[in-house]
Amino acid sequence: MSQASAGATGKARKGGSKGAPRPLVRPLSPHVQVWRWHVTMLGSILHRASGVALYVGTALVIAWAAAVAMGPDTYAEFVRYAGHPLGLLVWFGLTGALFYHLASGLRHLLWDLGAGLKPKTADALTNLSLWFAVIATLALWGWLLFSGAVRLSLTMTL
Amino acid sequence: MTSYTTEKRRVEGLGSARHGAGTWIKERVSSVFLVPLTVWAVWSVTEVAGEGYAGARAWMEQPLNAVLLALLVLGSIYHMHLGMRVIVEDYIHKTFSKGALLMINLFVCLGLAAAATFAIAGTAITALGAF
Repeated sequence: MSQASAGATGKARKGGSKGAPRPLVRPLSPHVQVWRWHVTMLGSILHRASGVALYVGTALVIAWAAAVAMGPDTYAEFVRYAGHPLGLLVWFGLTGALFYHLASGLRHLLWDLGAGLKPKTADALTNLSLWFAVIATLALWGWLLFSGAVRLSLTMTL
Repeated sequence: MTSYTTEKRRVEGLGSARHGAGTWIKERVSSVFLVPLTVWAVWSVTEVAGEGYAGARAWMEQPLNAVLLALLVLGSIYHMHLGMRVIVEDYIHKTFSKGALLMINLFVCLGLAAAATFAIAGTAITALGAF
């Protein structure tokens, strides 16, 4: 607060030298020490993070399409990596990122229309996006595993 | 050279730069385009997973699947190019680094678009028996 009042009265501050143009000192906001954590902040960070993840994910989907185009040997090689437990972990993360980015993106489109911007509604939409991502990801992988489409072994078919 | 005027003072009265909302609108339009395609893609995963090479190939040889997959992938590349561009512009401020990263982003996206087009169209067109 001291900074804001100093700015308002225009008093000289430490660091400035005589003769030099007086820099405009504005209040620092949001100030890190009084910044309250809120879920829309997490939602915003995750939206960007999931977008970056999907950048890689798109490349992997294209790699899959290229493997199909190049024939059975290349495809088998692709599946050796994509179907490996670590590969499946990557796909699991990517589907989570996809579901979150989808729900969170719809949330943003709603906001862009000027709707749902009251703090309570905005928080609820963000929570909804997060829960949708968790549930949809688990549901998809539950289906993939229990239907036998994806098997958790080293010699699996995708 | 250090400027003694504030940034606000320098741009005051000059009007807008005429491209302020362009990227923003493109991002939104492409996202609307991608929503139904994403739902289709998730459904397709449940169709193709576990079907092996033959199943995957048969799936991609279907004209509708090939067209929708191409739309999904090319639309995604357009959208992610814009998104990554904004991220670079947000965090990287050195002219050279920023320019280099923006170029890499563009080149990666163009390369992916070319690879995707070739793979999808190649597979589907071969199946049509036209070539």
